[in-house]
Amino acid sequence: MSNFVVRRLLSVIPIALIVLVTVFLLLHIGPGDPAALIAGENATPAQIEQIRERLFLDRPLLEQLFLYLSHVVQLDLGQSVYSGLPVLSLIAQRIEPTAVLAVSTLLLSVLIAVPMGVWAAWRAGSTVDTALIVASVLGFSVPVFVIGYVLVDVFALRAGWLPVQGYKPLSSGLWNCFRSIILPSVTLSFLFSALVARITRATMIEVLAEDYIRTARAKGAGNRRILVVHALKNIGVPVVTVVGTSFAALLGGVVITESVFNIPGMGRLTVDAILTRDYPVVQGVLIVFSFVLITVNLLVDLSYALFDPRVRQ
Amino acid sequence: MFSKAFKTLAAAAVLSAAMTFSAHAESVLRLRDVGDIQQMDPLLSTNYPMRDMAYLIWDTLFAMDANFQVQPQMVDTYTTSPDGKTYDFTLRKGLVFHDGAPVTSADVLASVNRWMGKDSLGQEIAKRLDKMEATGQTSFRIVLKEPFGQLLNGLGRMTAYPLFIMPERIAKTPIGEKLPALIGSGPFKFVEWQPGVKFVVEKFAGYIPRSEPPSNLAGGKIAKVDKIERITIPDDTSAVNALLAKEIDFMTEVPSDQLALVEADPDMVTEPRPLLGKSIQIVINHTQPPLNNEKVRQAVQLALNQQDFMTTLLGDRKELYKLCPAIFMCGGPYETDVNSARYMNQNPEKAKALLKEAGYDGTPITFLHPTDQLLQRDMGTVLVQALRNAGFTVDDRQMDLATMFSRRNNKGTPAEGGWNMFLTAFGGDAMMDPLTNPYVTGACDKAFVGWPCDPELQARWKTFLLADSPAARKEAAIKIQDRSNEIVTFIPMGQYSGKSGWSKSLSGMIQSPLQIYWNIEKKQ
Repeated sequence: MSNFVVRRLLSVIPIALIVLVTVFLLLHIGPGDPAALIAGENATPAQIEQIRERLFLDRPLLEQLFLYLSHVVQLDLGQSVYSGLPVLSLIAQRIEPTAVLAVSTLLLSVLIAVPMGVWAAWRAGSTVDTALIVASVLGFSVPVFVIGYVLVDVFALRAGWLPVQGYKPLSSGLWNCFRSIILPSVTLSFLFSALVARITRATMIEVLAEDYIRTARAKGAGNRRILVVHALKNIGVPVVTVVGTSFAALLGGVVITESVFNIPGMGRLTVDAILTRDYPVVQGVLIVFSFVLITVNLLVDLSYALFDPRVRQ
Repeated sequence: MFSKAFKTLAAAAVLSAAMTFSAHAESVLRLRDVGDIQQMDPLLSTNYPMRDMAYLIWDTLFAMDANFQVQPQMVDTYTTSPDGKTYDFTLRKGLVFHDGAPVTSADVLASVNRWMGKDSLGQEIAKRLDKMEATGQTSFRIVLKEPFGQLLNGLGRMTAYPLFIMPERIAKTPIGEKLPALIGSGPFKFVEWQPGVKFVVEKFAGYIPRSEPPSNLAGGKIAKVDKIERITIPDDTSAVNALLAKEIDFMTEVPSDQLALVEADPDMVTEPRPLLGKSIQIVINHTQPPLNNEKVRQAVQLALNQQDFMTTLLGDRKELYKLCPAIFMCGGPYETDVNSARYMNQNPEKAKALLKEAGYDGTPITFLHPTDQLLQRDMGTVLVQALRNAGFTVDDRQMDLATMFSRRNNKGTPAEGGWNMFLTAFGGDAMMDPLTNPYVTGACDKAFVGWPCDPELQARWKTFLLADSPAARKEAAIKIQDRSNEIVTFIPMGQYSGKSGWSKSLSGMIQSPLQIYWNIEKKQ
């Protein structure tokens, strides 16, 4: 088991390196000159050239790549070309809202979707099942921003129960933070719940048709025992897998949700940095995202051991 | 025992009530402006959001009033020698920086020096500068080699780039290096900046405003709220929702398609702002065929129609735009309609005839068309069709704004990554004056992108620069427009103003070509 963990951790290094080089090349080969953007509308070519020199953008691409990698190894992600602030501190400012949003969405989705999926599977073919299928199709089909604006209109503008936009940090109090994150989490969990509920339902239907479930019934086990003891544990692996692998989709949704609800998180930082060609910030954010995804996948792998004893051997 | 405990409790209650009252008494103006602050050195870029915040933190020696005349701001009195070469200035008493240090002439001279290294008018002053020296703790002298009527205009420059007075140690920072601190002597002091999130300033108790009523950037700058929070909300719809929910107090530009929502709210006020608004321009590359031919450029003027552009932008909201013949803005001091007939009277047939006369061979016009910006995306589509209707071949290159910004600096042929035409918008604050309007220098390689090269235009621009009276400047500006429109340095495609929206709890807004946030009062 420990060998497995160490191997997985070491595999992070080449993956991260590939991510770093790919991101660097994509950004620098693509069109758009950050020096021209920084200099502004009235800038002369000389002023733009001056900025280019200051940012080392006049150096050969390989030299720029080497410079960048040597700094990253020392945990120096550079400075934003606009604000001049260290990328690490910009990320530190923005990571909390995104983490809170992602975790609350994950919890909300799993808490809603798994029971719904199990219930629908248990009552397969019933109205409940049909309703779940319709709801999950809607969850997939309706864009996140549409759901977001509808929720804002109903619960913030008309009812006035929740804030329209903005994020209150945890340091401002748990309730304040919770209030500011309710609508964004619910918005984002539509898509995620639809995915998890459908997988849960399909897997549960398969599990309920297994021989050992029939055997349990034949031995006189009650519905609750069949569901909780025999069936639920066996849907763990596929459900955890889909939760883990769709985490990337969740991060994609975070970008849009953060824009709709004006949450100053990593998603907005990424979009702003890409639009302004703030290379160091884009690179820094993508490194963090890739490490988060690698970690989530690692945790998913490790969690298999909880559900399936064969993995532990 | 009981009495003592009661007294203690009573005192605590009074103290608590006082603290509660004082906490509630703090007034915070929360505003949303378009765009984001990218950096905080007012001499590093022309970023408008940064400039408007900079005006809160730093004060200026002179300032432009509502009649576009410079008035003393930090300066108390000044004299000019009879030969027009020597200016003596004395600062107002009691000026202090936010760190408590008094503003001295050394701070002023260092700030002027830094500014002259960047601003184009500052550079013109530097060319004519004999010496600049302190004549006392709060007085200084500028001696010129020759009389220069634009000196005070320069010291009171409204935009690109204003002369902000910083402490000497900060003003010695080379341009391009990060300022070590955001310390000024303006009515508000810097508190916090989270890029992409918010920028916060608070009232500076040590600021002594002028006694005159506020007038554009001149007059008394009175901080009537305790704190100003500029909140970055990138999404327009979210910003409008935040305004309607009273989570923000002021939105500098309500998108036209959502104006009806704000106007329908009885607790909201809407008004066209800023003064003069913005103008749309078609920018033309003079160095590449087919637009290196003056007649072809004039055919472009004939192909276009301001009304189409304005309707595309604002629909039937006619109160928000003007069809404007002036290249220095309608409503500005240099407004004129001279030589504007071609672009004010669309005539595709005449354009075709002019193209034939010019020997146009169908060489495509490479048009840089950013599609990630609503304004450029939609108007670009109108532009392309209008050109095609007039007989032009157009290569419509769709791209994002960042790519356009980069590509427009390329002087090569379109095949080498160059270009022929793009569309942009500048604020009236820049366009209204030949010294800040980027298109009219005719200075070849030193000119704004498009690089029009015309000795006659250069001469007329210089005449304006050296003019020593408002009447002489007006006359020179008319001649600049005449020549600029003849050689077609750019084509104005209409003047428009957005509408700001704010809560009725606010009062005291100052109209200006910029966004001014002092003097605004917020009812609790």
